[in-house]
Amino acid sequence: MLLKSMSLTNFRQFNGTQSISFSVDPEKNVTVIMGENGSGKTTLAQAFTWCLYGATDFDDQIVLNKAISQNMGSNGEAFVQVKISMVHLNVDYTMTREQKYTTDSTGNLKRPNNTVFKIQYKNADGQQDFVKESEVELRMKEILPKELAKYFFFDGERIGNMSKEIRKGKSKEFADAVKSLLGLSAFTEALEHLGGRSANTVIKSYEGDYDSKSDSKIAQLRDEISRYDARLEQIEKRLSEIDNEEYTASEKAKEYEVKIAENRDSEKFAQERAKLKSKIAGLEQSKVSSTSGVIDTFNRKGSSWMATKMIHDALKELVDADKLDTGIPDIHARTIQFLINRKKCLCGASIEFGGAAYTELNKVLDYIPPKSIGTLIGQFARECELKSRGAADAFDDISNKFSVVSGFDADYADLSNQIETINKKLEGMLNVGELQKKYTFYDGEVKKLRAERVRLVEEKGGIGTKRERCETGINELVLKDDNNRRVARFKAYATYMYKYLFSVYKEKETEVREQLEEAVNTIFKEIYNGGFSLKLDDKYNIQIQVDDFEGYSGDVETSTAQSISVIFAFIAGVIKMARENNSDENSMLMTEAYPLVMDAPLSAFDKTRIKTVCDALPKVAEQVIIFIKDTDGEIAEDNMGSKVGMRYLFDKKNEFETELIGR
Amino acid sequence: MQTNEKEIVNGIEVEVEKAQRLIKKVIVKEKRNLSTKEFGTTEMVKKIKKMIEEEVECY
Amino acid sequence: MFDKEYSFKGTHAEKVNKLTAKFDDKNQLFKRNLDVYMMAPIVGFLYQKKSDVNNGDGSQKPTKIFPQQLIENGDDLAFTYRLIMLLDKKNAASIDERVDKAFRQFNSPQAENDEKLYEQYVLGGVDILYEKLIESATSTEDYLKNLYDFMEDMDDRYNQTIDADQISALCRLAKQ
Repeated sequence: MLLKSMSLTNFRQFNGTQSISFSVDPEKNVTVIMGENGSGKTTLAQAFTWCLYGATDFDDQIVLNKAISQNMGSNGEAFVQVKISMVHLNVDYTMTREQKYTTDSTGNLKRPNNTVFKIQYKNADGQQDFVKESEVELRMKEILPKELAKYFFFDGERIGNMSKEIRKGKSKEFADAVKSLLGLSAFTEALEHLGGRSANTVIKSYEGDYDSKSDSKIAQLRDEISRYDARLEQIEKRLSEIDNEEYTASEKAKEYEVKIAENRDSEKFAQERAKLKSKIAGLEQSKVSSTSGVIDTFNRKGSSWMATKMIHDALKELVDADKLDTGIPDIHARTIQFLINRKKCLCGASIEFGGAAYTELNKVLDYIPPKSIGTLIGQFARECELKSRGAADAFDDISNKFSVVSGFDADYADLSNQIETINKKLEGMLNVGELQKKYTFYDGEVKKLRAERVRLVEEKGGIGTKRERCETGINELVLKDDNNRRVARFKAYATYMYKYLFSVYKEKETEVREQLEEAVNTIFKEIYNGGFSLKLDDKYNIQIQVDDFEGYSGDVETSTAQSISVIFAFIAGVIKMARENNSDENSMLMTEAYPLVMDAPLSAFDKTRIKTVCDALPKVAEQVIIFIKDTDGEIAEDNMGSKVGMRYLFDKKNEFETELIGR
Repeated sequence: MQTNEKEIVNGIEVEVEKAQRLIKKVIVKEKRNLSTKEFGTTEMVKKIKKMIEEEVECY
Repeated sequence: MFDKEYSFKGTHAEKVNKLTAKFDDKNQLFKRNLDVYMMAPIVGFLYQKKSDVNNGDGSQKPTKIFPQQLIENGDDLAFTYRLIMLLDKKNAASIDERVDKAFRQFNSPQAENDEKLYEQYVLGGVDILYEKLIESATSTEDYLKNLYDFMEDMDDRYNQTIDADQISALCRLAKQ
């Protein structure tokens, strides 16, 4: 498939009819289309898929130019058309997709009509002819299936998705498409015609050629065979269902396994969190009890403790002033009064009223009963001692308890931080139990399916043997008849051919896949250096693997540059293979070259990689149509200049209108 | 190389060389038809049968 | 003394209310007005802070201590009264006079001025307690911290150099 030209009429930004020719010169096979972001690069790329498959990736499915739709007036009508001319397997095709838009009486755009798709081709006589309307979709699928188209009409902005898709979970259609692209379709066709599922095959037709009406034994055997065939068909159908189901289930199981591994720690974290929480509860408890302890001590002993100094000083005053003297033993106020009255002391000295002795004796009255305060003072002193003893530890007690309280904040903050950290980790983690249940379910499904497959394969083998025995039985019978003997011989050849082709096909397919893998890897290593290689499994899924990493065989996280490289490598590999097979005249494989239409994010690469990409693409692809930013223009010219056959520029006039200008 | 090699299919002898030649022819035919889309399945089945009968019958 | 109902009035009523208010869901710095009343004179004396009864802005309701509580704690209250009387040299310079005030004149008509002085210390103490424990508190955690800081201050200032043994020694000396 080589793209010759495209013309767009009123397609989005492209007002009126604008055409673009693509370089088909094998030496200068690059067409460069330059334009700023938003000028229409993506639109032009999407015009391909819209024309060929009737779909775009735009949110707005209205593809009619806005300037046109605004000027349609009431009850107006307008057409959008994209026409692509191409050569495919030496046949000239023109694909046209057209969509009619109408406005209502108020000038509002009505829902557009369905698109109309036509394929015109030049038939063997050189006459223009149209592919039957009922067959256009099918023919398009044969030329380039949609599943593959996205790899040839390649949008740099969706690289993330593509890279994911290219690496896992692709459909059977994709594998089929790759196979056909790689030239295995002649094999599949031949196999289908010789002995495929349909009723119309060489082998089945020979069976019908037997003249068996006269022989009821043959008819009986034939019945038996068709019963076996019916069952075999069921088994085949179920087996391919099992393949799909097992694939899905094991993907799911893998997915949950990974999730479980990721979330395995969640249980541990949850336990740790519970422990921390009970620690916090303990802390809170001890804060509460310490707080009330501080206050209790403060209330019970605080006053006494504060008074310690006062108690000390008061006692000292009393001691210094001899006030703690309890007086003269056994002397009563009456004794003193008696001595004063008789004016003579016990020692015989005289006591004068108002004299020194008199004053001294009166003072004594203070310390002896009944006026004595000695008892009170003694009692006071005892209280002093009691209180100071009782309150001595008050401050220590409060200090200790307070340190618990004041330490609480730091401890609490510490624990809270730990909990917070765990919470963060747990966020996004899922309940392992639930995951485990799901994993067990899917894993169980996989096992069930495998067991079923084993059973079916056994049954198939058994039926196959029985069937063969019937065939041999029939043969023995039919060989008695000359005509039947002839038919049986043809059938034997057809059967042989089918079996042989089938095994060759299997081999070829593996071989082709291995070649593709090698081709993809060669290109990948050219454009992406760094110890990775690519692996293709039997469903053409690409896995990125690390080289030279002992014991490590897992899939690897991919960066954007890596993703782009993987896709480039894959596309380039497929195209290269297709081309090589095509050039080999005697090859039993048959393929067609394909163009590479890409919206290339050259700026996503570093300089050396741009060079290798620019070098590699025009060599591997028969035709390269590349959309680039103005800023990447120089890079492209520098690296691909000699290969560029056509140059175009998007001239963005306004939001709704862009013109294509040749340079 | 495989001149006289024979294989028994359903109790019938198949000459490997003939069969191989047939296979190649069929593939080439299929290849051509893939690009021209000249023949449908029924026609292709007929053509393949014709090719087999011719090849087998001839010496 | 200490046998009639006592009322804090004006700003002091407000402060006492705050000192006895719960600062979190269950704790209050002082459990009863009585507890404030017992500690305040010591604090007032130690900080040499005397305050007079006031009516505040008139909006504060008096807060009371019932006679029963005072009578039950009469011994402790009398002890504090005596301590202050014994130590307040501004009130009476000579130790004899102070001893008289502490012991002889306690609960007698001559004690009227001393009782007023004592109440001034009580109210001064309330002011100090309020200032130290409540005023600077901005969160509930602060109350306890203030309490500790307050006591630590006092410990530094008064209690570092004194221990119960010294006091016991003085007591033994006194009893000889």
